[in-house]
Amino acid sequence: MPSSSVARWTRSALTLVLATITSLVGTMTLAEDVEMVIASGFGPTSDVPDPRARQNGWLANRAGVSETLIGLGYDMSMQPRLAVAYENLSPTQWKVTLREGVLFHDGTPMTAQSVKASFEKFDVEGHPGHNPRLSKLLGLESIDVTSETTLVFTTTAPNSAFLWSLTEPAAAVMKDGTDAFPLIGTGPFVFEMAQTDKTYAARGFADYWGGTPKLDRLVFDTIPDASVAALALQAGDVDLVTHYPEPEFAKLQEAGESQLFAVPTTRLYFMQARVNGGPLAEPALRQAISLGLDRDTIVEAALAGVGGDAAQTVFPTNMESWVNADLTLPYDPTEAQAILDTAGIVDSDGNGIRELNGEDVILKIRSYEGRPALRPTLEISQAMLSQIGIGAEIAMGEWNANNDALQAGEIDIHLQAWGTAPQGDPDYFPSTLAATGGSYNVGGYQNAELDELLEKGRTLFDNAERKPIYAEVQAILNRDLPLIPLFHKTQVSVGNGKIEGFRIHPSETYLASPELTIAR
Amino acid sequence: MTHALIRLTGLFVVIFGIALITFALAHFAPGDKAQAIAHARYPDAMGIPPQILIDIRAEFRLDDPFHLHFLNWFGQVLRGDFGVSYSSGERVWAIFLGSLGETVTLTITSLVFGLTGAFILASLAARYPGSIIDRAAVVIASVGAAMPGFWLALLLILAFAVHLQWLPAYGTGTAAHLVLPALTLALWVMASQTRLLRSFFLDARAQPFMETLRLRGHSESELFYRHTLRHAMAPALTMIGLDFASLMEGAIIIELTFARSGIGSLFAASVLSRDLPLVMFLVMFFAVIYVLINTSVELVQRLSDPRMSEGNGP
Repeated sequence: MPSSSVARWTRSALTLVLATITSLVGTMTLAEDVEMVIASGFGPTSDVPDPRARQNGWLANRAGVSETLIGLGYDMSMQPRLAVAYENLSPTQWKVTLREGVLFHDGTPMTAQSVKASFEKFDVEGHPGHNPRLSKLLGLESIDVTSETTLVFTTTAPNSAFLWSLTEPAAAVMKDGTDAFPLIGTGPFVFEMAQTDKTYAARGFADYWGGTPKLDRLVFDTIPDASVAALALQAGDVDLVTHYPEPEFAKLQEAGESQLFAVPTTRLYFMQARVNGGPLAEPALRQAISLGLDRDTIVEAALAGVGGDAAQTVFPTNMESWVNADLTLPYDPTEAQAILDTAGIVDSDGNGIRELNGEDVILKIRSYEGRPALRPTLEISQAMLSQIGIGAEIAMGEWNANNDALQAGEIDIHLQAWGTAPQGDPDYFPSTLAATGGSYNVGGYQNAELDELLEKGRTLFDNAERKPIYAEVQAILNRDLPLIPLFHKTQVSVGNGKIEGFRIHPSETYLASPELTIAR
Repeated sequence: MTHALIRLTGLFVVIFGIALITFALAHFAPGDKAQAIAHARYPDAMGIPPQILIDIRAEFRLDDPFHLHFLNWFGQVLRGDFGVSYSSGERVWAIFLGSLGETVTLTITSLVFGLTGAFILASLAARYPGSIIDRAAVVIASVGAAMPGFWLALLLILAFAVHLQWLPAYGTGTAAHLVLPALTLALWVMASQTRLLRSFFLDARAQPFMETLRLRGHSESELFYRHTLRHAMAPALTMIGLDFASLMEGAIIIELTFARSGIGSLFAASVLSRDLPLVMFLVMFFAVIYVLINTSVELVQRLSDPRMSEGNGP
């Protein structure tokens, strides 16, 4: 064999050996990484999802990639995050003091100037962080940098919900991306890659201001079918399933197996009634419906008893900052029938259905697909209402079409599910659904006292002063029942037994933290 | 040639019809379009500020009359512009191309394995009618046809991912990820095609000319490969073509179940988020695929069967 050929072969063999060693070392390094795979019901909407655009912030906030100036605590109260202090200088001016020592994922420091630059992108059309919805929510006139760590936000009009709007995940502080760092945030995890509707991966950020994350890598895999997610957990392909199928969760709970997590969220399932016409214009009928619905049984049947918490008002009990804990919505069919009898809504022809103004009370109730608990809730409610002599024709439609139908008087009730406090502020839900002129007050409810309270609540800036106002708002809603609350959805999650540092947040928008890890 | 031209003209008429119906369905669907767009852009934000809705109406010219709206859209479609996704803001065409590879890989793998299995089973069954193999083929075809795809998928995950831990339960990326979804769809193809191929083979074997050939001393293998197969191929091609088109649809459930990001899961996600540009594009895509496959099958049949092209077929 010629010597050149021998040399070539030797070089090839050495290259092969080196490549093998390199890959082995690489594998060993990867094997040492503490990685957590989380099965999630929804995934990124693009391969580089800027947290400020659209609803991308939900995933980025959960993954710990992006952070907001102000955060939400587990009791849904405001918590310092990238901002350590915030004060109201005038009805339209807010001074925000930034946390010192915060680094972006590319190693540069976060300054007042970089926060201003990030927020200005909401209005830049064509920029990946463009978000006209958030821009309108914040209603900013100007942002003034007053020092390296302080800014003054000026709004176009007095807005007591301004600070709450800063907790919205889209209000993230980001730097413009580069090839090396497509998304540059400040959170405990650095964006690594995303595949539309498929996966979202991030790596631990050693220089995180809140301490080095215990996890090296965090992956959110999208598995739309909850049953498959549960099987993937059993197969060891994922470590945590955030939305586990409720019947399976109930079985595990009964058997005392697995690592279970359950916390009520702010997502409310409720009936919106048409109160400006039709049978439900009669308040006694709405009261009777509320008393005739056994909310615990609905949760038992529709969500295996573990996926919901019977509602006592529009806010869940764990939303301690705002919930009016004195209110209840009891199940009392005897009282319901007594109220109907007193109001003259009786079954005079003996057909089992009571009459109002000489006509059988047969309510047209509609809901929509997309949330599995809605259909069984609709069916069980129909059966319960028949027990107190109220007939119901039920159907599934489309959410927008149902709103149109309720407004047009074609149906009497729209059964739906809403997050009642997406930014933690109590004004959003009643103002949108019950205030006169509210964008989704399609049931036509009008109450001057409620409008006045909401108006006042929006002009007050001290939460202690606002709390009694929203307590009264909840009391009025429970009394008039233009919206009949049924239950708050409980998020049920299951881990592989080794998950540490995980806690379900009632807003559903927080998950990753430096403490999150897998026990070895 | 004339026939091909007529078919081609028909094809364009059908595609125009599909476009019109698809657009009309989306246009006249109940509910406010601006709300639908706002919801696709901001899922879970139930209360959309009125100003956003006004902006959306202006951006998409939603207040235009139907014919203007349709002509504007169809003109863009003819130029290859299917608009941008409401949810992600990316071009529909780019999103589609990004997902196409996974679905095509899944569909073709399933079709190849399913047809191979069906062909082996059906030919053995037709060769030995009434035998145990024949009965087994009928049982497999019946059970396979009766079992829903998502159920079979869950059973396969339970067996191969949870208990045996040989294969991943979900996802994409490696050949191992392809096995379970491809197997689910392949079993469905095998079940439906075994039943059909078996009957086509039996039908071909019962033709009078086969008896003549047998009397002339042709061997059974020769009869099968040279005559039975050829005779059965014409109807089989039609059914295989239709199966291929159905497979693209079957992929919707399978991709969702196995959390694969192909055309199927894209379709489901776009419908749930009311992402109308994507929905319209994908409805048109599936319809056009159906029409194209049917036309291709017919052309292939005409080429493979001289009686059809001479116009004196049965």
